[in-house]
Formats: sequence, structure tokens, C-alpha cells
Amino acid sequence: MRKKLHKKVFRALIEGRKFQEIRDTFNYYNMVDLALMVEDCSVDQILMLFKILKREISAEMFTYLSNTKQEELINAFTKLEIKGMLENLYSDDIIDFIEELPSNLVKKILQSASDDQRSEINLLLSYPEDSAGYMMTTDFVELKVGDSVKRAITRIKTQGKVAETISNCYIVNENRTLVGSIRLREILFADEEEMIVDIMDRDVITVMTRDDREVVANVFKKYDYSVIPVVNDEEKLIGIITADDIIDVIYEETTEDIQKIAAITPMEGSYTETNIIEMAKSRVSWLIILMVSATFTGLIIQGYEQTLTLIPALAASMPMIMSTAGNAGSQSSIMVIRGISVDNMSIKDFWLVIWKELKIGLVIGIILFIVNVIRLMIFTPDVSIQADLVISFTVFVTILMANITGGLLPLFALIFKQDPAAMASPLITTIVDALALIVYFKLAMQFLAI
Amino acid sequence: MNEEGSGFMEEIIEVNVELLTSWIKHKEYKNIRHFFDETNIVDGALLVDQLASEDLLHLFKILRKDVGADVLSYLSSDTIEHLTSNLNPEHIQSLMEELYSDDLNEILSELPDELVTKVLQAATPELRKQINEFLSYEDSTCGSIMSVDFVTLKNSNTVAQAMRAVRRQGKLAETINWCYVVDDQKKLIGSISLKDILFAKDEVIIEEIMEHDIHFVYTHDDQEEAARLISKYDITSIPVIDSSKTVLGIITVDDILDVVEEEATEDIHKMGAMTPLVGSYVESSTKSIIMSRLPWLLVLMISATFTGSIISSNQELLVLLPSLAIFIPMLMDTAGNAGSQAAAMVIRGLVVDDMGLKDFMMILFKETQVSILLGFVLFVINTLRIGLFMPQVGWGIAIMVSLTIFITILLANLVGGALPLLALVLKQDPASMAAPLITTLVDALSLTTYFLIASYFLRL
Repeated sequence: MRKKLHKKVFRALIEGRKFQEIRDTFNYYNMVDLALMVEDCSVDQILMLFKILKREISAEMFTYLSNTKQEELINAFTKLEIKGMLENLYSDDIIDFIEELPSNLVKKILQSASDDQRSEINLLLSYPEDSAGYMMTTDFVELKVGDSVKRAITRIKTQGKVAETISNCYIVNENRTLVGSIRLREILFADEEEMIVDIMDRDVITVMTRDDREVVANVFKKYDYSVIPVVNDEEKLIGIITADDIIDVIYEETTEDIQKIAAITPMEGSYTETNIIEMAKSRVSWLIILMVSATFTGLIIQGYEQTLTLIPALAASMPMIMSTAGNAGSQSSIMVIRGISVDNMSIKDFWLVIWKELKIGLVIGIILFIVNVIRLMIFTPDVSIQADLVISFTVFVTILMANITGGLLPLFALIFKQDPAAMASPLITTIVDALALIVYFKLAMQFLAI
Repeated sequence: MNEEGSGFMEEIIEVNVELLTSWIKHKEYKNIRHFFDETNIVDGALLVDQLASEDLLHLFKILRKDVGADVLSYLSSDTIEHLTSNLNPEHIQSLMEELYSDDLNEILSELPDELVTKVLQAATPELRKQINEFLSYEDSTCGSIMSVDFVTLKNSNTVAQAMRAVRRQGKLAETINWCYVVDDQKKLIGSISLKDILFAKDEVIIEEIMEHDIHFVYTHDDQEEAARLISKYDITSIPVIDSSKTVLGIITVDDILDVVEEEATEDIHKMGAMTPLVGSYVESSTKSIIMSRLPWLLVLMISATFTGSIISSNQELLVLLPSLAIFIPMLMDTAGNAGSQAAAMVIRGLVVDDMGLKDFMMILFKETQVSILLGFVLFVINTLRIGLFMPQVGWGIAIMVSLTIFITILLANLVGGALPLLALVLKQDPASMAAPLITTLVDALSLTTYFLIASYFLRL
């Protein structure tokens, strides 16, 4: 293997306009890495690359550039150059960059495309974002129900050049209804005279064009497939989705979940690329809601102001009780939220969650009770043992309440057709804080003889 | 042919557990075989999972070995445990031989030790060697999830020879879409897709059309590394090599989907102050859930001693101005929320977007700017909220509390943004180090700020 491509070497090649060496470089190295270096070139330099590189290579390079670079390039391209590039791209890659472009540039692209391609792009753009139809590619190998193995191989050779994958081929009848699928290896291992229908797989797992991409991701995970065909309402074969596109979906959905759990309004785009206004926007709303709702906790404390003045030691344990309550609540809510999104948990698990959290809360509560009594005796010897017991007992009760609230809130969110991750996690701290403080002061008034 | 084609979906009758059970009881072997030939194996396995134990054993005696092995790889671990403890060694051996190595490995990793021993005893010497090798890889490394069934080609092969090699090795291989090219010393030097072989002329030499700049992982690499490369380079499989660059196995994209999902759950658990829990909420025992939650709860409870002592040492302030206590929960919550927002964004950036230590200054700069914006908005809203709705507190304290919020948000965002990077420096997982610690740290910071500002205002 040749040594790693260095940024400086690449720059020198471009600036020195060493055409032959540039071509060699692009033939040899991985496009993802090359595109990262092209990213730093000027638009003029990239236009030069487009002139000297083979069309399929420059088209592939284009798909890996950043949105801003793509926009600049589309602006600078002639219609002929755009047409040439479109012809060398898979349809899902075209949609990927079109969706980020401003509308005047989308128009320019549609005008430059051939008639066939224009209707294909329009079709894909007509599906709702996040649907299977939107993310599929229409470049796949289609075999006919009457094909022999020999005929199939010829078809694969002609269609395969533009297809995104040839590892799975799909068989349709005269009405273009999907009737079966077959893997390339099965065709290769079969006799030339055999009929495709005799060796194809009839029980094809499909997704519908309007299925949400999360549904698609779940089908992939369940069946361990690397390609899944997309059909419309009449069971006509429209496109395919490949597993590598699904990885991105899982990453994005996870990021969304994590953001919601951390009280962030989901935002697209990476940390590095997002500007500060967008970032502040995604964070500010929950911060305000939670800040204002903390008024409740404030009011509770205000109501017990006298208790606090009488036993000042109570105030010192407030942060501990509140953060323990918040931590316990978010632990159980996160487990249930993840269970809903990954393991199909739902409202039917209501009693299971209560029962389980009750047991967990009891055990954890007892352990924390003991540890906390010891902690208080060591660190605050001046506080009475009664106070130690009251504080620790509050921790015990709090954990039970926090676990059950945290476990049930995501399920309630489901009933009200809200996203469990968004509804549950940020709210839990506030609710559980309030509950914990009420218990705290009630117990203190009861047992510390005021 | 036409009628076969158009009706293919309807051909499969709804088979439920009762029907399958009655087929087994009445020895209707033809129906059973036909069902497992036609249905999707995952759906079939879901039914088998629900069978009663004697029916289950009976079924496996009926099924063709390759179908049985296929079904086996999708069964729940309880069912598999039951099967391996009850089937005879010869039967186990024949099932094992039909399994892809990564499926076999996955099954073994979930079996209790005594059953693994039983399987090992049943295996042929060759298979036993292979299994032992697998068992020696640590959990969640690339070696532990790879499949050893793949196609290798020689660099000097012609396309025609390669095609023959693919046909020969391909029967057993998990995927033939990508083949790996090795030199005379069996070192990995390139890769080629079946598509390129198919479209090339027979006499072309493989080395001339293969891809040279390929990506690979080592057996001891974390499985996350394979996921990252496959997703970054949009490839469908990645070779796994040892230190001498010999190809030992491959990891395919469909296996990676599970990895990505598992790692995501792990990260989310860690950020929620839990030791990652393997297995679903419903299936996990109460004990294992407690073990995953208890450690951080204890650590964080004890470290709250710190925040407590900050309040104790400012007791006079609280006595002097009792309304100060009212705002403690709000300040702590806001600080914690802001900190975990920043941390969540940076942690995700580290996992998904290749962020690293190099971005330290960028993060600090960005968080400062974002904090000023956020702090300003929250300052205004909070001042109005207290001033208008809590007249007994007064505008002076309202401004004082809001000022604390402003500073707290700045501190919380900086700590939340920087802590994940610090975890990287200490070679710790950013998600497990940073997220749980942030609340405690930031709580302490916000309370200190609060009391400092309050005592300054009171002196005025």
C-alpha cells in the first residue's frame, strides 16, 4: 500500500496543475479522504478538477463535499456540466444534496437535468422528508419473471453499471409488481438454463414509500438485511434502500433522542458547523420553561421559611436531596425511554414498570438511607441524630417517588401522543424536586418537634 | 408462471403457534418443511420461540440441518439454552457446521459456561479451534463480532480465475459482494467488488483493477471503530486483520447496525449516570438494573456533601435574608440543565463528528458566545418574573438572582463543554465521565457564585 496522502502534497499537485498526477491520485486514494482535502480548495480549483477528472469520479467527489461548497459549485457550473454530473450520480445522492440547496439552485438543477432524470427527481422530492420514498434510490437491478439465469446475467451486466448495488436483484411481473428477490450469488451459482422464478426467494420483506425512516431502520435491524426494496400501495417496485444509509438514520435518531433527554430542541447539523444563534435557539426554550417552573420549588421553600429559620441545618441538605431525586428520576426515565424506542415497550408495560421500579426503589432507597446516615454522622457531627434520620428517610421516600415518576412519565407521554424523550426527561427534575422538598419539610415538621 | 408470480404474497397462510404445534404433534412434516422454506426466517424463529419445550426439541429433529441452523441464529437466548442442553452432541455438531461463524460466536457468547463446554466437546477439532480463537477475543472488539467466512483473491489472479475462486469460496462466505486481495505472503493489499470483477474482461489481472486505498480494523480494535469507518466511508463490509496484516475476518454492515444501536444505548445510559445495562429493560433482572444505577447515585449523593457545606458556611446570609433560599432550587436546576445541554452536544460531537482535543478552543469560544446570548435572555425573563410576580422579594434581589443566573450559565456551559474533552485526556469515556459529574460540579459553582454576589450586594 502506498503511504498516506498528505495535505501539503495534495495542495502542491493542485496548485502546480499536475493533471496526470492528480488523476492518479484520485484513482488511488479513498474519495472520502480526498473530498476532505478538496474542501479547502477554491471554487476555481475545484472547477479545474471537474474538467480533468473522469465524470463518475468528480460526481462521486461532489457528493462528499460540504453543503456550502456544493452550493458554490452549482452556482458556478454551466447547465451542461450539471447534466453531466447528474447522469453519474445515484438518485438518493442527488436528493441528498438537493434538499440542502436554496430553491433557485434546485430550479437550475431541474432545468439542467434530462427529462427522465427530472421526473425521477421530482418523484423523489414529492415524498415527505424522512419517508422511505425520500431516502430510497431508484437505481437497482430489475429482473423479469420469465428470465432464465443466462438472461438475468445479461440484464445485470447492462443495468448493473448504474445500479447502486447488484448484490440483490428484484423480480417483477408484467405489471411491475414485485414477486421475488434473489441474491447475485445465487444467480452466479445456478445453471444458465434454470429459470429465475424457480430459484428466487418469494417471501420478500418490503417497506412502503410512505413509511417513516424509523420504521425502515427497525425492519433492517429485525431482519439483518443489507438491502430492502421499497414498494408503493399497489405493490409495484419503486426503489431500494441500502443498509449503509440506515446507519446514518440510527446516528441521527440517537442524536435527536440524546438532545431531547438533555432538554435541547433537536437541531440538525454538527456542533462544529452550527452557528451560535441556531445553537442558542435550540437550548433556550427548555431553559426558560424549566427556570420558570422552578418557581414551584421556590414557593414550597417559601411556605416553609419558618421551618428553615428554626432548623438551619435543613437548608444544607436541600441540594443533596434535590440532586439525588433528579438523578434517580432521570435514570429510570432514560431506561424506559430507551426501552420504548429500541425494545417496543408501550403502555401495556404500565404495571411491569411500576412493579419493577418499586422493587428497585426499595433496594436502592435502603442502601442510600444507610449510607446517608453514616455520611451525615461523619461530615456534620453537630447535627442531631433525629435530623440525620429525617434527612435520610426523605432520601428513601424520594427515590421511590422519583423512580416511579421517572418510569411512568415516558409512558404517559405516549398516551398523549408526545415524544417520550422530549416530554419526560427535562420535566422529571422539576416534578421530582418539588415532590422531594414537600416530603422533606413535612417530615421535618412532624419529627423534629416544631 | 404468471399465477405463481402474482399470488406470491397470499400463498403463505397465516401460521400461528397453535397451528405449528398441531403440525408437530400430528407429524405433518411436509407442512412444517414447506412453512420454513417459504416464510421469512426471522418471523419463523419468533414462532419457534413460543413453542413448548418438547415440541421445540421435536421440531429440530424434523427440520433440515441448514434450516435448523438458520432458525437457531434468530432464537432468544433462553430457547437456545434449552436446546443446547437437551439436544445430543451429534445434533449440535451438525447444526454448528451450518452456522456462519459470527452467528455461532454470538450464540456462544450468551450461553452459560457449562453449555459452551458441551458445545466445544461436540465440535469437530477444526471448529473447536475456530471457536476457541473467537472466545479469546475480548467482548465488543472487532475480533469478537467478525465472521471468518469471506472470499480472498490473489493479486496475481486473472478475472477469470477470480470468478472461479468466488464460485468456490462463495458458497460458504457470508458476503461475496466485496472480496479481499492478498499478496504471496497473504498480506492484505486491496479490495475489489464483485461488480467490478463481473464487468471486467476475463484476462485482466485483479491487481490492476482492485482498490488500493482500503480501510481495515484490527482484531483488538473496539467494534465502534468498525462502525465509524463503515459509516464514514459508506462501505458495506470491512476486513479485520492481525498485526501482520493477514485477513482474519470481515464485519458486514448489517452487523454494524446492531453495534451502532448498542453503543447508542450505552452512551445514553452513561449520560444518565448509569453503568450501561446490557439487555432490555423488560428482560433485565431487578438486580442488574440496581447494579447499573446504584454506583453513581451513591457517588453523587456523597459528593453533594460539598454543595451542602457551601450552604452551611453561608448560614448567616440565609438567616439575614431568608428569601435567598427560595431561589436555590431554581439556580441549581438551571445550572444543571445548561451544563448538561452543553455536555450532550459536545459528547455527541465526539462520537459522531470526529471532534477531538483540537477543538478545545473552538468549544470554549462557542460556548462563551452561546452563554452570553442565553444568559441575556434568561436574565431579562427572570428579572421580570421575580419583579412582577413576587413583589415581596423586590427588584434589587430580582436583579441579583438574575445576575447569578447569567454567570452560572456561562460557567455551566464552559464546564459542560470542557469536561468531555478532559475525559478524553484522561483516557476515560467522555459520556460516563462527564455527564454525571457535571450537575454536582456546576451546582457547587452556581451556589458559590450566588452567595458571593449576595454578600457583595448586602454590603452595599
